[in-house]
Amino acid sequence: MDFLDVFSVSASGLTAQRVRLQAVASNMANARSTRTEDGQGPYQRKLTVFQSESLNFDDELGAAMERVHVTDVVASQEPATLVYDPGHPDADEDGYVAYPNVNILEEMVDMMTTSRMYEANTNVVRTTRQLADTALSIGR
Amino acid sequence: MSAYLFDRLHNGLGQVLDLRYAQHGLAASNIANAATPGFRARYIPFDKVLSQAVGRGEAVGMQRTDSRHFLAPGEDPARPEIDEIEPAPWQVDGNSVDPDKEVVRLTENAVMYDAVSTGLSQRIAMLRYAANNGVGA
Amino acid sequence: MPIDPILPRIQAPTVDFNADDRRVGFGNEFAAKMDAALSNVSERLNVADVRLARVASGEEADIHGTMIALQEADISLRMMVSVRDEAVEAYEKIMNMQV
Repeated sequence: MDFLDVFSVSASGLTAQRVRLQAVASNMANARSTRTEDGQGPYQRKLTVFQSESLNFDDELGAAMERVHVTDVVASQEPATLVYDPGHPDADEDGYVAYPNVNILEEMVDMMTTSRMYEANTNVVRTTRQLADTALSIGR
Repeated sequence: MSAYLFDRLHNGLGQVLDLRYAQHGLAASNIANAATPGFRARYIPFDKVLSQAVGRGEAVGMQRTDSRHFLAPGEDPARPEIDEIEPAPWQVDGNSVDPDKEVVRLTENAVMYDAVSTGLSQRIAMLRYAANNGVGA
Repeated sequence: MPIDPILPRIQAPTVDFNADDRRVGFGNEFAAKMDAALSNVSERLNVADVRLARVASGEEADIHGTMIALQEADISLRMMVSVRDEAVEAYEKIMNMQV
């Protein structure tokens, strides 16, 4: 394990958090989108699927350290919120409008959590850099 | 000749640096995976791995003791013992990482790495000074 | 521990052929001072080593105290070397004197 390995682990974390933040931003922007481009109904909440993967299997330490990957961005299968509003252009034959299954408060919490995790990862990068600098100056 | 120049403490400090660096890597991995379902936070249990033998008045003859006196018996510096944290009941996705705890662990560990590294560096500088017969920085 | 300046204390070199130690000395006092200074440096180096080891093993968290002890050991060492250099220089000066 060397400094490059640690950087790649943190980089994977940063990428994963950024993708998740993008999904959250998309959810928040489309919280009231009753129709989408493909015409299949309201916007569906986007969820990111994270999976970890060991750095290598050379030894226990290599196996214990893991990078994270976003393996998929899926649509939430939770049912849409139905609101009775017969005058709405997207109302169905019963007068109900299907709104996205997005809960704004949940998304805001996700946004804050995700950006704090992103910050924690940048903290790690900075600290790793400091360790590398210290190591480089041994004996100088 | 070099067996006498670079004494046991020198090697011992190097091993402690290896362990501290491994801990850093694990903390980095924990933080990257703070949102990965089922991921267990991992760390090196320093109070188990490092022996407390040093403090027991071994001031004299320090240089003659085994280079592994820093490590508890049975510990291999190249393959550190790694412990996992079980998720708390409220961590429903099976992820046991507490990002704040990990950042604290990371920072604490970095300070210790720095301290040992600086101390080692200082010793090396003294040795170099002596080796140059008192000439140079 | 202050190290006294050497030059005012130099006595005439004495050669005692009956002595076991055929050292051409500057007087026992100087030798004693050098010994004491050497022990001091040695002691400081040991202390620095022990303290560093304690920090490394996690027993002691007094980092700045340990760093200071290391610096003190370093400075004592350099001072010792400086004294040695002065002593050698003074010795050579005296040996080159036309008597």
